Amino acid sequence: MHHHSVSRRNVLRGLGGLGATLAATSSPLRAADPSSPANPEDRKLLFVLCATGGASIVDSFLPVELGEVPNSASPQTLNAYPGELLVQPEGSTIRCVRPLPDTDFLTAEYSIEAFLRDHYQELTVVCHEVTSVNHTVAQKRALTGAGINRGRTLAEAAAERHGMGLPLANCNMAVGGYVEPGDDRSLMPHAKGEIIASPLTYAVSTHGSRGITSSLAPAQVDRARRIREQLEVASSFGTTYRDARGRLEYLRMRSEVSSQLEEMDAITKLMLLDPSGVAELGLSRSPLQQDLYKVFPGVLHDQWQQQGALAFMLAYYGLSCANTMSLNFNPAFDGDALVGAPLAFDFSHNFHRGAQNVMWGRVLRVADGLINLLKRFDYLGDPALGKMWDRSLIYVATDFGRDKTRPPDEWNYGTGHHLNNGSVLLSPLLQGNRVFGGVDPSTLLTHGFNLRTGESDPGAVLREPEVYSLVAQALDIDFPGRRDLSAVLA
Amino acid sequence: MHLAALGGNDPFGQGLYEPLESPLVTTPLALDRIALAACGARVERDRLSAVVFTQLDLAGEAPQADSEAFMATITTLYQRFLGRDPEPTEAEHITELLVDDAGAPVSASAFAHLACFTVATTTEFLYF
Repeated sequence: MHHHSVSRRNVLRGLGGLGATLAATSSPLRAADPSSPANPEDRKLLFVLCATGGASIVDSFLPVELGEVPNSASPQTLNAYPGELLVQPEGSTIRCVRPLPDTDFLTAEYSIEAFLRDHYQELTVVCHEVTSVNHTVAQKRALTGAGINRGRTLAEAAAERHGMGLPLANCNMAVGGYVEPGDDRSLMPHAKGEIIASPLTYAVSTHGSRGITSSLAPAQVDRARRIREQLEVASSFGTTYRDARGRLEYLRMRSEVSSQLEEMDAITKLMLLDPSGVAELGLSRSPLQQDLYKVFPGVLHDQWQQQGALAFMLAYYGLSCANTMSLNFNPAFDGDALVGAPLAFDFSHNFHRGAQNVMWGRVLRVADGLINLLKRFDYLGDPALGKMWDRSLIYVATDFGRDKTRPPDEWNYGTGHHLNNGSVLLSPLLQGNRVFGGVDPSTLLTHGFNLRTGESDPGAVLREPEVYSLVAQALDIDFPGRRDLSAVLA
Repeated sequence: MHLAALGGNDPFGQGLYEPLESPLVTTPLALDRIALAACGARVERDRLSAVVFTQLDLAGEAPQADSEAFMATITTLYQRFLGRDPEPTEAEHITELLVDDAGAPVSASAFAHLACFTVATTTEFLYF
């Protein structure tokens, strides 16, 4: 082994961090192959929106009004809201917190109220606790159900179940514990997470040559690739490591999956960049770009909206069936407006109510966009397959809840992490317009429900495995030990 | 021009604290792009002052398969990328880059670009 060996391995491992200029030529779009190994008729689509930092359910869809808190419980010391700040849209059995009149230097770009008004029929709240108040640990457990399915994340399980034949079955654009792979080493290769660092420019990752300024013709590159395969066999290295697992898997990806991405013209289909910046490189915009720009108007500068847009394209074109997106801990701006708090929901440490209100709006803004797109478009562009929404589930994952108490009569205060919380799910596969479980107005602690009947049960405590099981069951994912949550299904 | 993260992970930006067990689906494509761009840039620089492709007339046609310029060029590439000389069978395979799919000779710059790309993206270069 010569002196370059270590650095080469490191190059391979850290490739995603390398920058390169993009470029390429356009080519006609092809329809997704309907005869892919996993039957698209039965395929389910999972979208995981990670509300990083601790999105509190009693500050969104399960708020308690001050007047509901018994005097003996000292309402002025609990995170209960004045009645005028709560609203229950007509037709909704769920109420929520209105836009707060004062969010200080944070700017709300969307409201919980607007979301509930438009989507109460498909909104399901499941009350539960979690088992960690460490961000990274809790994030991972939110996606693995605290390890109930051999450590597989929901996205991995969904990709293995529904993603055979899809080149990027499981895409993960998240951060921290939400981007970590699961722990099941027996997971099929196609279900492993494809980590995406830059949704805006991800399209160029799907082609090996287009867009690079070069005088070479595509046929010349293809010829070089064919000769490369001959060199792989002819070299002593190729002979010595002929059966090495890592090398074989790499060669399989290169010869099968990479070529599939190029043949599907993913570089055009996923192109989010403004055409004025790519046309001179021979690249074309995605046919969906104008629709996405309308639904996600901040897509060129807001990575959260970029994630939503890319996830939709990946699903629509049959490239993936599981997409994980997350807020990150960096502040986000729209011009001079601070629309994403530093530390995301964890800014609640400093400014609980303002951070929760603004950040819930920010999460739901992308959920709203996704739902609208999924309801509008036929899966794979094929009317026979129905609207994408009919097969979709959006799981709003979060780390944990927040403290339920506040300094007496304070409006601006900070909260710590709390195990008690609830999760939001959006899907026609679940009973919508319903809260499963409930909240005790004397403590603001949520409680679970009877798994068999779905009835609220103040003595029931559900945790990550139940949430995981619910999503899995809705997506036809079976595994030993799965809880039966039929009562929550549509 | 945009700076693009070619798939993969941004460990600091994304808070991914442990390396992934295996390359991603898009890793081979990312490597192709990098090698293609880098080799092309080398050829263009060598037109002005040759460093790697010193035995080629980059404004002319590709060398003959049995020429000293051909062997010297691919030996340089193998030494630089793999730290060894090419085996005769490998050299023979690379002679196919001297012509296009129709059998017509390619330019010296195209041969230089393609040969560089081909050797640079072998698994021997990546893993060894």
